[in-house]
Amino acid sequence: MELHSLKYEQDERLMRCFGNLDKAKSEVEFAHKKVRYFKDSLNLNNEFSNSAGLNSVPISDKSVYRKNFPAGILSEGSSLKDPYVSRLQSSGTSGERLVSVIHSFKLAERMANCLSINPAFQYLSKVPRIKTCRYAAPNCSDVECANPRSTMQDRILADGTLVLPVYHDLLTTPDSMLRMAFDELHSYEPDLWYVDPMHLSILIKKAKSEGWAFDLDRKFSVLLTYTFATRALLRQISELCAGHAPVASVMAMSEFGFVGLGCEHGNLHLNDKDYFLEFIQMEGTHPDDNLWELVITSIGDRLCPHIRYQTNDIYHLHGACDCGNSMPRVSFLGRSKDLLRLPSGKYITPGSLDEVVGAPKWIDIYQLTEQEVGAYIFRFTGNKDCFSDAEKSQLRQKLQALLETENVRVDDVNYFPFERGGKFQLIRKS
Amino acid sequence: MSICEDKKLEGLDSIRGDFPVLAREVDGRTVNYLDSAATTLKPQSVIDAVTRYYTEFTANIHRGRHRLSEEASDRYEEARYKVALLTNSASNEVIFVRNTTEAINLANHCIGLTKDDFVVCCLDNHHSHFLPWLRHGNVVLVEQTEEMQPDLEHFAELLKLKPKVVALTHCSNVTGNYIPLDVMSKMAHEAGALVVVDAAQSAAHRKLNFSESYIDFLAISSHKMLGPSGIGCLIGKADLLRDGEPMLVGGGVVDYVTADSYQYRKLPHKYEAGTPAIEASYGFGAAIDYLESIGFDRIEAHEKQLSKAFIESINNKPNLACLGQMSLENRAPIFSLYVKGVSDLSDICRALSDSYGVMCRNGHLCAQPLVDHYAGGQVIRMSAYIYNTVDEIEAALEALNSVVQSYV
Repeated sequence: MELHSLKYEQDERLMRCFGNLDKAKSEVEFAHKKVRYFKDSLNLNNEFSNSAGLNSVPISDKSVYRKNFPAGILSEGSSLKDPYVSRLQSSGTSGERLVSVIHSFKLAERMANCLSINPAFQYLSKVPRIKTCRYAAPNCSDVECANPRSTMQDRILADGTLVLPVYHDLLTTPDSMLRMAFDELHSYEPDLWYVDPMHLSILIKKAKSEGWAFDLDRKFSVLLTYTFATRALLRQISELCAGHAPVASVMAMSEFGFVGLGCEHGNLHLNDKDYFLEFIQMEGTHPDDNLWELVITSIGDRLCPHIRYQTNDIYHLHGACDCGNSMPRVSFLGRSKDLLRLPSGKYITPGSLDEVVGAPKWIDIYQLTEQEVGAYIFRFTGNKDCFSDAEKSQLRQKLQALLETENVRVDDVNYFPFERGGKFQLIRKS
Repeated sequence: MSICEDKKLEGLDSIRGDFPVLAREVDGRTVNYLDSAATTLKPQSVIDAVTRYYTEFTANIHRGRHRLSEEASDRYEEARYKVALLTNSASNEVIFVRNTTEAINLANHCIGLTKDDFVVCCLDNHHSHFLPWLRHGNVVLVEQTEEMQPDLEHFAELLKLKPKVVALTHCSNVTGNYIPLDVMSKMAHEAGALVVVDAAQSAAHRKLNFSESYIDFLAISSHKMLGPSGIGCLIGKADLLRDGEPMLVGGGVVDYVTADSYQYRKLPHKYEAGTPAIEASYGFGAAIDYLESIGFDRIEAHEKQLSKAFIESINNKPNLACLGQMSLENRAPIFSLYVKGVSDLSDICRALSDSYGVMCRNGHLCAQPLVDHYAGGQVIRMSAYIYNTVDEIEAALEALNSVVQSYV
């Protein structure tokens, strides 16, 4: 049964769902039968058999999969020794850390279905073994990519992905490692640049300042992931790639692999073939605020099914897309932990912040810090020759309006800290 | 560079409640704390942050993969990020050490001096920024003007000696005067010298901008910035730190060790041997948050009021003389006083403390060449900060004047 945009309520919050409910319920039944944690914790009563009965299944989260790894969340009979089992590690530390396992075929299937969203990337589905270069937070892989002495061979993963060298705190990466990354990005001849937009923008900027020329004649594609792709970052990447290589944002999670992709119109679509997608209205918001938290149930995962898994990712939901793809069109706004809530109750998301900041030529990277409720510092870096005090003042006024306070400081800086796991927070709290 | 054109320069009277020591009474008297140049008081948020390490984590950092260790490490590195943002440096340029003294000794070690190397020092350098250079290099001193500022013409002459190092003190712990740091560091840089700056007294008073300066090494201490003691920073240009040799080696500084060799870790870890003062780093981070939430523009405005109160009160007391400029410009509210005809000021300081609740310092203030040169003996130093009021300064100087009457 295809259920597009099914609406119902959970804890008095509105919910919208996309995907095949029957398959989602089968996934729950499989987990209940074959996976120890769900066997012990689920009670599939009559309510579950009703049409919207998935709603009776408790929502799971990262801590469930972390606490029960491996025996409690792997299906009976499966083994981590299986050569087709991929082990993926989240870049997070502390409460965000997690080791996930996915069957390689499942990963490939999800990737192929996501790539089908954008015609410019569909050729990759036919490439027998996609050669990928990854340039992102080091914690995402187990190779020593943050070690300046590591060689290219040290950093090639089992699936052939080359992880380019970089420091956790991106902006402290020494010039020699940036050069190494640039050289390897060419010598490895990848089909796909699978990159954090922040990392790529830093490499582009460095190449520009040093006169290093990218070889844009080779056929390759660029997928942006990990960090929120701000308009300022997209501007820099577009300046390099436009007319040479297709660029799209991919929504990927270490728990699932590919979850969605940007279409040819630049709109993000989430894959509702491999997942049952539930969007729950954010607590304390009005439906008109259009703030939804994504909960995912995997479809057909016989290794480690995810049941009503809370992603902590916040989205806007949109109507149909001009590209014609029927997968739900959304905008990613950031992670729930990256949201600010103003005293008025209004949420500030990385997405809403980015809308206000835009992509002026004088901003390459920026970050908003909440010092305390009602006091903010907006730090930015960019081309110092390209802005005036008037432009900074205008931006400050816009930020004051967004943040509903006069107390906004705008600082021009040279450095931004990245999390110890290598991720960058667009909005951070002191 | 910051824009805050609409921000009001409000007084800071309301923050006194954040500092528990100010609620303390000694022999029934409230504390009038005027020794912030020695160490600042700590706000409750800093105390809480230090305690939080022991109540929530207590794990060692950068060791192993268990959850408590990772969380402890995250917060330790977060403190480093805060220092970097505060000083406009990069996180790998921030080396955590015990204090400013250790920071300067480490800079000295990284540079590697011989007795043939000239080092230009200023007369007002703290001993911690004088002795390491005296021990390893050939120190020459910049003469001072009548206003007790470095004589820039003489400085230019000394630079012709091609010194390896110029060791500057941003703000004197004795006079409270700021030197023209941008001008002097640029002159030194152009002469090919490495510029090492002691910013222990200035870091809590003025916004520092390391990456856009000509400074090669900058030393600061947490305890003079509302943070805990036991932690400070050497902030150094990454290229110099990469080439430098650590002062200490041991756990945490290497990636790889064999029976006869080792490879250092990347910056900043190669300089941080052994278990550091983890709890102090949490407090340091909280102190930086506190400073940022007040803002340096407000701090400077408040301090100007305090300095004005000092100057006006001292001018009315003929028995007291001030070592240094009696001007509001380019100074922190640090005033060193001497009493004409009285050489040992210990009893006076004791009386100020016990009879009036005024906590201040006497002695040579670890700057003996300067103090001996101008005062001929000890001085009494009163140093104020954000939690002090004009009333406290007036009361302290009245008290001093009153005590001094019995000695002259």
